[in-house]
Amino acid sequence: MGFHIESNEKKNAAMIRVEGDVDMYTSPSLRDALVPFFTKNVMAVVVDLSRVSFMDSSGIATLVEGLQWSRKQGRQFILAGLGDTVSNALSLTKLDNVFTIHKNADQVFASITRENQGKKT
Amino acid sequence: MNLDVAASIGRATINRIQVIGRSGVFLFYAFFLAFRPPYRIFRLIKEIEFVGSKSFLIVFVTALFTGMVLALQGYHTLTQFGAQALLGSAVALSIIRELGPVLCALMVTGRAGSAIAAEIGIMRITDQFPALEMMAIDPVKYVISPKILAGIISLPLLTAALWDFVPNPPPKG
Amino acid sequence: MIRVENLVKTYGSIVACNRLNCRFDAKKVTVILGGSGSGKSTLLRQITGLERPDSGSVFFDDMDLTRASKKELYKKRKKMGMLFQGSALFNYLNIFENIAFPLREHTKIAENVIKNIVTMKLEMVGLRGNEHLMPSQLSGGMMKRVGLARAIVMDPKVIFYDEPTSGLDPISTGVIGKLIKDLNVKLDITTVVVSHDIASSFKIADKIIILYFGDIIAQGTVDQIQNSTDERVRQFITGSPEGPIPFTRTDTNYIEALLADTDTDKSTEKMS
Repeated sequence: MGFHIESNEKKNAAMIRVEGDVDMYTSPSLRDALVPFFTKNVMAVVVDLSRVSFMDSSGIATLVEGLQWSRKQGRQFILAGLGDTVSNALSLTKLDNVFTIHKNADQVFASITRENQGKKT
Repeated sequence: MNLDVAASIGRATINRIQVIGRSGVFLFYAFFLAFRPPYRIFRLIKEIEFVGSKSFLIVFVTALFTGMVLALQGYHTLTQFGAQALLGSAVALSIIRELGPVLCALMVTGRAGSAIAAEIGIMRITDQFPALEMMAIDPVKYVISPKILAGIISLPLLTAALWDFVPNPPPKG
Repeated sequence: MIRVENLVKTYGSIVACNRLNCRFDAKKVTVILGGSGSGKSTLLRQITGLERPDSGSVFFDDMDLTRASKKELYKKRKKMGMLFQGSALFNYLNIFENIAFPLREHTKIAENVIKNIVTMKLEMVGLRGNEHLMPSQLSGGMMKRVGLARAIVMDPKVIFYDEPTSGLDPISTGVIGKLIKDLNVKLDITTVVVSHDIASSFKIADKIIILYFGDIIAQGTVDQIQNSTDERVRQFITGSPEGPIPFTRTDTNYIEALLADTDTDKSTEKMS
Protein backbone atom coordinates (compact mmCIF):
# COMPACT_ATOMS: atom_id res chain seq x y z
CA MET A 1 0.00 0.00 0.00
CA GLY A 2 1.52 3.28 -1.07
CA PHE A 3 2.17 6.01 1.40
CA HIS A 4 1.29 9.49 0.31
CA ILE A 5 1.03 12.90 1.93
CA GLU A 6 -0.44 16.04 0.56
CA SER A 7 -0.76 19.31 2.36
CA ASN A 8 -2.21 22.70 1.62
CA GLU A 9 -2.51 25.95 3.47
CA LYS A 10 -5.33 28.39 3.28
CA LYS A 11 -6.11 31.45 5.37
CA ASN A 12 -3.94 30.58 8.39
CA ALA A 13 -5.06 26.99 8.45
CA ALA A 14 -3.29 23.91 7.19
CA MET A 15 -4.70 20.66 5.96
CA ILE A 16 -2.61 17.50 5.76
CA ARG A 17 -4.02 14.46 4.03
CA VAL A 18 -2.35 11.17 4.80
CA GLU A 19 -2.85 8.06 2.75
CA GLY A 20 -1.64 4.49 3.30
CA ASP A 21 0.20 2.86 6.19
CA VAL A 22 1.86 5.01 8.82
CA ASP A 23 4.60 2.84 10.32
CA MET A 24 8.15 3.08 11.64
CA TYR A 25 9.48 3.79 8.17
CA THR A 26 6.87 6.21 6.83
CA SER A 27 6.17 8.23 9.97
CA PRO A 28 9.33 10.38 9.49
CA SER A 29 7.82 11.74 6.27
CA LEU A 30 4.57 12.48 8.08
CA ARG A 31 6.64 14.45 10.56
CA ASP A 32 8.44 16.23 7.74
CA ALA A 33 5.07 17.35 6.41
CA LEU A 34 3.87 18.39 9.86
CA VAL A 35 6.82 20.25 11.32
CA PRO A 36 7.03 23.19 8.84
CA PHE A 37 3.59 24.34 9.98
CA PHE A 38 4.76 24.57 13.58
CA THR A 39 7.00 27.48 12.78
CA LYS A 40 4.61 29.16 10.38
CA ASN A 41 1.89 31.38 11.66
CA VAL A 42 -1.01 28.96 11.20
CA MET A 43 -3.81 28.94 13.71
CA ALA A 44 -4.96 25.40 13.04
CA VAL A 45 -3.67 22.17 11.58
CA VAL A 46 -6.16 19.56 10.42
CA VAL A 47 -4.85 16.04 9.78
CA ASP A 48 -7.10 13.97 7.57
CA LEU A 49 -6.61 10.31 8.45
CA SER A 50 -9.61 8.90 6.60
CA ARG A 51 -7.43 7.09 4.11
CA VAL A 52 -4.97 5.71 6.65
CA SER A 53 -5.23 1.93 6.74
CA PHE A 54 -2.79 1.29 9.57
CA MET A 55 -1.03 3.36 12.19
CA ASP A 56 1.58 2.16 14.66
CA SER A 57 2.96 3.80 17.77
CA SER A 58 5.48 5.91 15.85
CA GLY A 59 2.58 7.45 13.93
CA ILE A 60 0.75 8.19 17.15
CA ALA A 61 3.91 9.62 18.67
CA THR A 62 4.29 11.90 15.67
CA LEU A 63 0.72 13.14 16.12
CA VAL A 64 1.45 13.70 19.81
CA GLU A 65 4.16 16.11 18.73
CA GLY A 66 1.48 18.11 16.93
CA LEU A 67 -0.55 18.10 20.10
CA GLN A 68 2.44 19.35 22.09
CA TRP A 69 2.86 22.21 19.62
CA SER A 70 -0.79 23.18 19.81
CA ARG A 71 -0.78 23.21 23.61
CA LYS A 72 2.37 25.26 23.80
CA GLN A 73 1.35 27.83 21.21
CA GLY A 74 -2.36 27.88 21.92
CA ARG A 75 -3.23 26.69 18.41
CA GLN A 76 -5.63 24.05 17.18
CA PHE A 77 -4.55 20.56 16.20
CA ILE A 78 -7.39 18.48 14.83
CA LEU A 79 -7.54 14.87 13.72
CA ALA A 80 -10.29 13.99 11.31
CA GLY A 81 -11.83 10.96 9.68
CA LEU A 82 -10.41 8.33 12.00
CA GLY A 83 -10.92 4.75 10.96
CA ASP A 84 -11.24 1.87 13.38
CA THR A 85 -7.55 0.96 13.35
CA VAL A 86 -6.41 4.48 14.15
CA SER A 87 -8.95 5.07 16.91
CA ASN A 88 -8.05 1.66 18.36
CA ALA A 89 -4.39 2.60 18.43
CA LEU A 90 -5.29 5.90 20.11
CA SER A 91 -7.41 4.30 22.81
CA LEU A 92 -4.65 1.75 23.52
CA THR A 93 -2.24 4.53 24.33
CA LYS A 94 -4.97 6.27 26.36
CA LEU A 95 -4.88 9.25 24.04
CA ASP A 96 -8.39 9.16 22.55
CA ASN A 97 -9.67 11.85 24.92
CA VAL A 98 -6.72 14.17 24.48
CA PHE A 99 -6.92 14.86 20.77
CA THR A 100 -9.56 17.02 19.18
CA ILE A 101 -11.26 14.64 16.80
CA HIS A 102 -13.75 15.38 14.04
CA LYS A 103 -15.58 13.14 11.64
CA ASN A 104 -15.07 15.01 8.42
CA ALA A 105 -11.84 16.79 7.56
CA ASP A 106 -13.22 18.99 4.81
CA GLN A 107 -16.06 20.31 6.95
CA VAL A 108 -13.75 21.22 9.81
CA PHE A 109 -11.26 22.83 7.51
CA ALA A 110 -13.99 24.84 5.79
CA SER A 111 -15.43 26.07 9.06
CA ILE A 112 -12.02 27.06 10.38
CA THR A 113 -11.11 28.99 7.26
CA ARG A 114 -14.50 30.68 7.35
CA GLU A 115 -13.89 31.76 10.94
CA ASN A 116 -10.45 33.06 10.10
CA GLN A 117 -11.94 34.96 7.18
CA GLY A 118 -14.41 36.55 9.54
CA LYS A 119 -11.66 37.65 11.94
CA LYS A 120 -9.70 39.36 9.24
CA THR A 121 -12.47 41.54 7.85
CA MET B 1 51.33 -46.33 27.12
CA ASN B 2 53.71 -44.53 24.81
CA LEU B 3 51.04 -44.44 22.17
CA ASP B 4 48.67 -42.89 24.69
CA VAL B 5 51.12 -40.08 25.30
CA ALA B 6 51.53 -39.49 21.57
CA ALA B 7 47.78 -39.50 21.10
CA SER B 8 47.19 -36.97 23.86
CA ILE B 9 49.90 -34.69 22.50
CA GLY B 10 48.31 -34.95 19.09
CA ARG B 11 44.87 -34.22 20.45
CA ALA B 12 46.11 -31.19 22.37
CA THR B 13 47.89 -29.89 19.27
CA ILE B 14 44.82 -30.30 17.10
CA ASN B 15 42.72 -28.50 19.72
CA ARG B 16 45.15 -25.59 19.88
CA ILE B 17 45.27 -25.28 16.12
CA GLN B 18 41.49 -25.34 16.02
CA VAL B 19 41.31 -22.55 18.58
CA ILE B 20 43.83 -20.47 16.62
CA GLY B 21 41.92 -21.08 13.42
CA ARG B 22 38.62 -20.14 14.96
CA SER B 23 40.06 -16.97 16.47
CA GLY B 24 41.58 -16.07 13.11
CA VAL B 25 38.31 -16.52 11.25
CA PHE B 26 36.52 -14.52 13.92
CA LEU B 27 39.09 -11.72 13.72
CA PHE B 28 38.86 -11.43 9.95
CA TYR B 29 35.08 -11.60 10.06
CA ALA B 30 34.88 -8.81 12.63
CA PHE B 31 37.49 -6.75 10.79
CA PHE B 32 35.81 -6.92 7.41
CA LEU B 33 32.35 -6.29 8.85
CA ALA B 34 33.68 -2.97 10.09
CA PHE B 35 33.92 -1.78 6.50
CA ARG B 36 30.36 -2.61 5.56
CA PRO B 37 27.45 -0.24 6.12
CA PRO B 38 25.80 0.84 8.31
CA TYR B 39 28.81 2.63 9.77
CA ARG B 40 28.64 3.48 13.41
CA ILE B 41 31.15 6.32 13.64
CA PHE B 42 29.99 7.38 17.08
CA ARG B 43 30.57 3.93 18.52
CA LEU B 44 34.02 3.83 16.94
CA ILE B 45 34.92 7.18 18.48
CA LYS B 46 33.71 6.00 21.86
CA GLU B 47 35.84 2.88 21.60
CA ILE B 48 38.89 4.89 20.54
CA GLU B 49 38.34 7.07 23.57
CA PHE B 50 38.21 3.97 25.74
CA VAL B 51 41.12 2.04 24.23
CA GLY B 52 43.26 5.00 23.30
CA SER B 53 42.82 8.12 25.31
CA LYS B 54 42.03 6.36 28.58
CA SER B 55 45.22 4.30 28.25
CA PHE B 56 47.21 7.51 27.91
CA LEU B 57 48.18 7.82 31.56
CA ILE B 58 49.45 4.28 32.09
CA VAL B 59 51.42 4.35 28.85
CA PHE B 60 52.78 7.77 29.80
CA VAL B 61 54.01 6.54 33.19
CA THR B 62 55.55 3.40 31.72
CA ALA B 63 57.31 5.44 29.04
CA LEU B 64 58.60 7.94 31.55
CA PHE B 65 60.10 5.32 33.83
CA THR B 66 61.57 3.16 31.10
CA GLY B 67 63.23 6.21 29.61
CA MET B 68 64.55 7.40 32.96
CA VAL B 69 65.92 4.01 33.93
CA LEU B 70 67.59 3.45 30.58
CA ALA B 71 69.16 6.90 30.65
CA LEU B 72 70.40 6.55 34.22
CA GLN B 73 71.85 3.07 33.86
CA GLY B 74 73.22 3.83 30.41
CA TYR B 75 74.95 6.90 31.75
CA HIS B 76 76.83 4.91 34.42
CA THR B 77 78.10 2.44 31.84
CA LEU B 78 78.91 4.97 29.15
CA THR B 79 80.91 7.28 31.45
CA GLN B 80 83.42 4.43 31.97
CA PHE B 81 84.31 4.77 28.29
CA GLY B 82 83.83 8.50 28.24
CA ALA B 83 81.08 8.11 25.69
CA GLN B 84 78.29 10.03 27.48
CA ALA B 85 77.61 11.97 24.30
CA LEU B 86 76.08 8.88 22.76
CA LEU B 87 73.57 8.45 25.57
CA GLY B 88 70.80 10.37 23.86
CA SER B 89 70.84 8.44 20.64
CA ALA B 90 71.24 5.12 22.44
CA VAL B 91 68.18 5.70 24.59
CA ALA B 92 66.19 7.13 21.73
CA LEU B 93 66.94 4.30 19.36
CA SER B 94 66.35 1.50 21.84
CA ILE B 95 63.07 2.96 22.93
CA ILE B 96 61.60 4.25 19.68
CA ARG B 97 62.64 1.31 17.57
CA GLU B 98 62.54 -1.61 19.95
CA LEU B 99 60.87 -1.16 23.28
CA GLY B 100 58.21 1.45 22.56
CA PRO B 101 55.74 -0.52 20.47
CA VAL B 102 56.14 -3.67 22.56
CA LEU B 103 55.64 -2.03 25.94
CA CYS B 104 52.83 0.14 24.62
CA ALA B 105 51.03 -2.89 23.25
CA LEU B 106 51.50 -4.73 26.54
CA MET B 107 50.14 -1.83 28.53
CA VAL B 108 47.10 -1.41 26.28
CA THR B 109 46.29 -5.13 26.30
CA GLY B 110 46.72 -5.15 30.03
CA ARG B 111 44.41 -2.26 30.69
CA ALA B 112 41.95 -2.00 27.79
CA GLY B 113 42.10 -5.68 26.84
CA SER B 114 41.07 -6.97 30.22
CA ALA B 115 38.36 -4.35 30.53
CA ILE B 116 36.99 -5.34 27.12
CA ALA B 117 37.09 -9.02 28.05
CA ALA B 118 35.13 -8.30 31.22
CA GLU B 119 32.60 -6.22 29.31
CA ILE B 120 32.05 -8.91 26.69
CA GLY B 121 31.80 -11.53 29.41
CA ILE B 122 29.03 -9.60 31.14
CA MET B 123 27.18 -9.11 27.86
CA ARG B 124 27.42 -12.84 27.18
CA ILE B 125 26.10 -14.11 30.46
CA THR B 126 23.22 -11.65 30.48
CA ASP B 127 22.06 -12.70 26.99
CA GLN B 128 22.81 -9.34 25.44
CA PHE B 129 24.23 -10.93 22.29
CA PRO B 130 21.07 -12.90 21.47
CA ALA B 131 19.13 -9.74 22.37
CA LEU B 132 21.04 -7.80 19.71
CA GLU B 133 20.55 -10.67 17.32
CA MET B 134 16.79 -10.59 17.96
CA MET B 135 16.76 -6.87 17.18
CA ALA B 136 18.23 -7.68 13.78
CA ILE B 137 21.62 -6.23 14.69
CA ASP B 138 24.75 -8.29 14.07
CA PRO B 139 26.40 -8.50 17.51
CA VAL B 140 29.87 -9.04 16.04
CA LYS B 141 29.56 -5.96 13.90
CA TYR B 142 28.01 -3.89 16.66
CA VAL B 143 30.22 -4.90 19.59
CA ILE B 144 33.43 -6.45 18.30
CA SER B 145 34.28 -4.59 15.09
CA PRO B 146 34.50 -1.11 16.62
CA LYS B 147 36.80 -2.45 19.35
CA ILE B 148 39.17 -4.04 16.85
CA LEU B 149 39.23 -0.93 14.67
CA ALA B 150 39.74 1.25 17.74
CA GLY B 151 42.74 -0.86 18.74
CA ILE B 152 44.23 -0.67 15.26
CA ILE B 153 43.83 3.10 15.17
CA SER B 154 44.84 4.04 18.69
CA LEU B 155 47.81 1.77 19.31
CA PRO B 156 50.19 3.33 16.74
CA LEU B 157 49.02 6.77 17.81
CA LEU B 158 49.77 6.04 21.45
CA THR B 159 53.21 4.67 20.52
CA ALA B 160 54.03 7.67 18.42
CA ALA B 161 52.60 10.25 20.76
CA LEU B 162 54.22 9.10 23.97
CA TRP B 163 57.28 7.00 23.46
CA ASP B 164 58.66 9.14 20.74
CA PHE B 165 58.25 12.44 22.54
CA VAL B 166 58.21 12.07 26.25
CA PRO B 167 61.39 10.53 27.56
CA ASN B 168 64.05 11.16 24.97
CA PRO B 169 66.42 13.97 24.23
CA PRO B 170 66.77 14.39 20.44
CA PRO B 171 69.48 12.05 19.10
CA LYS B 172 72.60 13.82 18.00
CA GLY B 173 73.71 13.33 14.44
CA MET C 1 1.86 -17.80 11.62
CA ILE C 2 4.66 -20.09 12.81
CA ARG C 3 4.84 -23.74 11.87
CA VAL C 4 7.46 -26.20 13.12
CA GLU C 5 7.98 -29.33 11.07
CA ASN C 6 10.02 -32.39 12.04
CA LEU C 7 12.44 -30.29 14.06
CA VAL C 8 15.46 -32.18 15.37
CA LYS C 9 18.19 -30.68 17.55
CA THR C 10 20.80 -32.61 19.48
CA TYR C 11 23.63 -31.53 21.72
CA GLY C 12 26.08 -34.41 21.68
CA SER C 13 24.12 -37.39 22.94
CA ILE C 14 21.30 -35.28 24.38
CA VAL C 15 18.26 -34.99 22.14
CA ALA C 16 16.74 -31.61 22.89
CA CYS C 17 14.12 -31.67 20.14
CA ASN C 18 12.97 -34.99 18.80
CA ARG C 19 11.07 -34.53 15.52
CA LEU C 20 8.78 -31.83 16.84
CA ASN C 21 5.69 -30.76 14.93
CA CYS C 22 3.60 -27.89 16.18
CA ARG C 23 2.12 -24.59 15.15
CA PHE C 24 1.68 -21.21 16.75
CA ASP C 25 -1.47 -19.52 15.52
CA ALA C 26 -1.64 -15.84 14.68
CA LYS C 27 -3.07 -13.56 17.36
CA LYS C 28 -3.16 -16.37 19.91
CA VAL C 29 -1.20 -17.03 23.09
CA THR C 30 0.63 -20.34 22.92
CA VAL C 31 2.42 -21.53 26.03
CA ILE C 32 5.20 -24.10 25.87
CA LEU C 33 5.32 -25.90 29.21
CA GLY C 34 7.89 -28.37 30.44
CA GLY C 35 10.29 -29.13 33.24
CA SER C 36 13.88 -27.94 33.25
CA GLY C 37 15.82 -29.60 30.48
CA SER C 38 12.72 -30.62 28.59
CA GLY C 39 13.90 -28.69 25.55
CA LYS C 40 11.50 -25.79 25.71
CA SER C 41 14.12 -23.04 25.61
CA THR C 42 15.91 -24.93 22.84
CA LEU C 43 12.68 -25.01 20.85
CA LEU C 44 12.34 -21.26 21.32
CA ARG C 45 15.90 -20.68 20.07
CA GLN C 46 15.16 -22.71 16.96
CA ILE C 47 11.90 -20.87 16.27
CA THR C 48 13.54 -17.47 16.53
CA GLY C 49 16.46 -18.56 14.38
CA LEU C 50 19.03 -17.95 17.12
CA GLU C 51 20.21 -21.52 16.54
CA ARG C 52 19.93 -23.73 13.51
CA PRO C 53 18.38 -27.17 13.98
CA ASP C 54 20.04 -30.39 12.84
CA SER C 55 17.12 -31.04 10.54
CA GLY C 56 13.54 -29.95 10.03
CA SER C 57 11.98 -26.60 9.26
CA VAL C 58 10.54 -23.57 10.97
CA PHE C 59 8.13 -21.59 8.84
CA PHE C 60 7.54 -17.99 9.80
CA ASP C 61 4.97 -16.32 7.52
CA ASP C 62 5.63 -19.19 5.10
CA MET C 63 9.37 -18.52 4.96
CA ASP C 64 11.69 -21.26 6.16
CA LEU C 65 13.89 -19.59 8.77
CA THR C 66 16.28 -22.53 8.93
CA ARG C 67 17.24 -21.99 5.31
CA ALA C 68 16.95 -18.21 5.20
CA SER C 69 19.96 -16.00 4.55
CA LYS C 70 21.08 -13.65 7.27
CA LYS C 71 19.49 -10.72 5.48
CA GLU C 72 16.11 -12.43 5.17
CA LEU C 73 16.30 -13.57 8.77
CA TYR C 74 17.04 -10.05 9.99
CA LYS C 75 14.14 -8.72 7.96
CA LYS C 76 11.80 -11.14 9.73
CA ARG C 77 13.39 -10.35 13.08
CA LYS C 78 12.16 -6.77 12.80
CA LYS C 79 8.67 -8.24 13.16
CA MET C 80 9.68 -10.18 16.27
CA GLY C 81 10.16 -9.05 19.82
CA MET C 82 11.66 -11.12 22.56
CA LEU C 83 11.73 -10.91 26.33
CA PHE C 84 14.70 -12.84 27.66
CA GLN C 85 14.80 -14.72 30.90
CA GLY C 86 17.26 -12.28 32.44
CA SER C 87 15.72 -9.35 30.52
CA ALA C 88 19.02 -8.87 28.61
CA LEU C 89 18.99 -5.09 29.08
CA PHE C 90 22.13 -3.32 27.92
CA ASN C 91 23.91 -2.62 31.17
CA TYR C 92 25.72 0.48 29.86
CA LEU C 93 22.50 2.23 28.79
CA ASN C 94 19.76 3.69 30.98
CA ILE C 95 16.10 2.68 30.63
CA PHE C 96 15.32 5.34 28.06
CA GLU C 97 18.30 4.45 25.88
CA ASN C 98 17.55 0.74 26.19
CA ILE C 99 14.02 1.16 24.91
CA ALA C 100 14.97 3.69 22.25
CA PHE C 101 17.81 1.48 21.01
CA PRO C 102 15.95 -0.50 18.28
CA LEU C 103 14.33 2.71 17.01
CA ARG C 104 17.67 4.48 16.75
CA GLU C 105 19.26 1.53 14.97
CA HIS C 106 16.53 0.78 12.46
CA THR C 107 14.52 3.90 11.80
CA LYS C 108 15.00 7.57 11.01
CA ILE C 109 12.47 8.70 13.58
CA ALA C 110 13.20 12.11 15.06
CA GLU C 111 14.36 12.48 18.65
CA ASN C 112 11.13 14.17 19.86
CA VAL C 113 9.05 11.37 18.42
CA ILE C 114 11.30 8.70 19.93
CA LYS C 115 10.77 10.36 23.28
CA ASN C 116 7.01 10.18 22.82
CA ILE C 117 7.16 6.52 21.81
CA VAL C 118 9.30 5.58 24.81
CA THR C 119 6.94 7.43 27.13
CA MET C 120 3.97 5.59 25.61
CA LYS C 121 5.63 2.20 25.97
CA LEU C 122 6.76 2.86 29.53
CA GLU C 123 3.20 3.89 30.40
CA MET C 124 2.01 0.53 29.06
CA VAL C 125 4.31 -1.36 31.42
CA GLY C 126 3.67 1.07 34.28
CA LEU C 127 7.18 2.47 34.63
CA ARG C 128 6.83 5.99 33.29
CA GLY C 129 9.06 8.49 35.05
CA ASN C 130 11.99 6.12 35.55
CA GLU C 131 13.68 6.80 32.21
CA HIS C 132 16.98 7.89 33.72
CA LEU C 133 17.56 4.79 35.90
CA MET C 134 20.26 2.26 34.98
CA PRO C 135 19.39 -1.47 34.72
CA SER C 136 21.53 -2.19 37.79
CA GLN C 137 19.22 -0.01 39.88
CA LEU C 138 16.12 -2.04 39.03
CA SER C 139 14.46 -4.98 40.69
CA GLY C 140 13.90 -8.20 38.73
CA GLY C 141 10.26 -7.41 38.08
CA MET C 142 11.04 -3.91 36.84
CA MET C 143 13.77 -5.26 34.58
CA LYS C 144 11.30 -7.67 32.99
CA ARG C 145 8.89 -4.81 32.41
CA VAL C 146 11.59 -2.65 30.82
CA GLY C 147 12.59 -5.66 28.70
CA LEU C 148 8.98 -5.99 27.68
CA ALA C 149 8.77 -2.31 26.76
CA ARG C 150 11.88 -2.74 24.63
CA ALA C 151 10.44 -5.85 23.01
CA ILE C 152 7.30 -4.01 21.90
CA VAL C 153 8.90 -0.72 20.92
CA MET C 154 9.05 -1.68 17.23
CA ASP C 155 5.40 -2.84 17.32
CA PRO C 156 6.22 -6.47 16.54
CA LYS C 157 3.73 -8.96 15.15
CA VAL C 158 5.11 -11.77 17.31
CA ILE C 159 6.54 -11.68 20.82
CA PHE C 160 8.49 -14.51 22.39
CA TYR C 161 8.74 -14.72 26.14
CA ASP C 162 11.42 -16.88 27.71
CA GLU C 163 10.23 -17.67 31.22
CA PRO C 164 8.68 -14.24 31.80
CA THR C 165 7.58 -14.97 35.37
CA SER C 166 10.46 -17.03 36.74
CA GLY C 167 12.06 -15.54 39.83
CA LEU C 168 9.30 -13.00 40.39
CA ASP C 169 7.07 -12.46 43.40
CA PRO C 170 3.37 -13.36 43.04
CA ILE C 171 2.25 -9.80 42.36
CA SER C 172 4.88 -9.15 39.69
CA THR C 173 3.93 -12.50 38.17
CA GLY C 174 0.33 -11.37 38.00
CA VAL C 175 1.30 -8.01 36.51
CA ILE C 176 3.48 -9.57 33.82
CA GLY C 177 0.83 -12.18 33.02
CA LYS C 178 -1.81 -9.49 32.61
CA LEU C 179 0.54 -7.44 30.41
CA ILE C 180 1.18 -10.43 28.15
CA LYS C 181 -2.53 -11.05 27.75
CA ASP C 182 -3.33 -7.35 27.27
CA LEU C 183 -0.74 -6.93 24.54
CA ASN C 184 -2.07 -10.01 22.82
CA VAL C 185 -5.71 -8.92 22.97
CA LYS C 186 -5.34 -5.20 22.30
CA LEU C 187 -2.53 -5.20 19.78
CA ASP C 188 -3.31 -8.58 18.20
CA ILE C 189 0.23 -9.74 18.86
CA THR C 190 0.94 -13.41 18.30
CA THR C 191 2.43 -14.62 21.55
CA VAL C 192 4.70 -17.55 22.35
CA VAL C 193 5.51 -18.09 26.02
CA VAL C 194 8.01 -20.57 27.39
CA SER C 195 7.29 -21.26 31.01
CA HIS C 196 7.08 -23.75 33.82
CA ASP C 197 4.66 -21.67 35.82
CA ILE C 198 1.42 -23.68 35.60
CA ALA C 199 -0.95 -21.25 37.30
CA SER C 200 -0.13 -18.15 35.27
CA SER C 201 0.12 -20.16 32.05
CA PHE C 202 -3.40 -21.49 32.45
CA LYS C 203 -4.60 -17.94 32.95
CA ILE C 204 -3.18 -16.53 29.73
CA ALA C 205 -2.95 -19.43 27.28
CA ASP C 206 -5.15 -20.10 24.28
CA LYS C 207 -3.15 -23.22 23.57
CA ILE C 208 -0.67 -25.21 25.60
CA ILE C 209 2.13 -27.45 24.39
CA ILE C 210 3.77 -29.72 26.95
CA LEU C 211 7.30 -30.91 26.26
CA TYR C 212 8.97 -33.84 27.92
CA PHE C 213 12.61 -34.62 27.11
CA GLY C 214 12.36 -33.33 23.57
CA ASP C 215 8.96 -34.79 22.79
CA ILE C 216 5.57 -33.13 22.71
CA ILE C 217 3.43 -35.20 25.04
CA ALA C 218 0.33 -33.06 24.90
CA GLN C 219 -1.06 -30.05 23.13
CA GLY C 220 -4.43 -28.40 23.24
CA THR C 221 -6.55 -25.82 24.99
CA VAL C 222 -6.33 -25.22 28.72
CA ASP C 223 -9.43 -27.40 29.29
CA GLN C 224 -8.03 -30.24 27.24
CA ILE C 225 -4.77 -30.17 29.18
CA GLN C 226 -6.51 -29.98 32.54
CA ASN C 227 -8.66 -32.97 31.65
CA SER C 228 -5.79 -34.93 30.14
CA THR C 229 -5.51 -38.56 31.22
CA ASP C 230 -1.80 -38.82 30.35
CA GLU C 231 -0.05 -39.55 33.63
CA ARG C 232 3.02 -37.48 32.73
CA VAL C 233 0.79 -34.47 32.03
CA ARG C 234 -1.12 -35.05 35.25
CA GLN C 235 2.08 -35.27 37.24
CA PHE C 236 3.43 -32.12 35.65
CA ILE C 237 0.38 -29.96 36.30
CA THR C 238 -0.07 -31.18 39.86
CA GLY C 239 3.66 -30.96 40.57
CA SER C 240 3.70 -34.32 42.29
CA PRO C 241 7.10 -35.86 43.14
CA GLU C 242 5.71 -39.34 42.55
CA GLY C 243 4.91 -40.40 39.02
CA PRO C 244 6.27 -41.49 35.66
CA ILE C 245 8.60 -38.48 35.30
CA PRO C 246 11.88 -39.38 37.02
CA PHE C 247 13.82 -36.85 39.03
CA THR C 248 17.26 -38.10 38.06
CA ARG C 249 18.31 -37.97 34.44
CA THR C 250 21.05 -40.57 34.19
CA ASP C 251 20.61 -44.23 33.39
CA THR C 252 23.71 -45.47 35.22
CA ASN C 253 23.43 -46.99 38.65
CA TYR C 254 24.24 -44.61 41.51
CA ILE C 255 26.28 -47.13 43.54
CA GLU C 256 28.20 -48.31 40.51
CA ALA C 257 29.01 -44.73 39.53
CA LEU C 258 30.29 -43.94 43.02
CA LEU C 259 32.47 -47.02 43.15
CA ALA C 260 33.73 -46.62 39.59
CA ASP C 261 35.13 -43.18 40.41
CA THR C 262 37.45 -44.56 43.09
CA ASP C 263 38.97 -46.87 40.50
CA THR C 264 42.73 -46.26 40.88
CA ASP C 265 43.57 -46.75 37.21
CA LYS C 266 41.23 -43.97 36.16
CA SER C 267 42.41 -41.41 38.66
CA THR C 268 46.07 -41.88 37.74
CA GLU C 269 45.19 -41.61 34.08
CA LYS C 270 43.59 -38.22 34.73
CA MET C 271 46.75 -37.01 36.45
CA SER C 272 49.01 -37.69 33.52
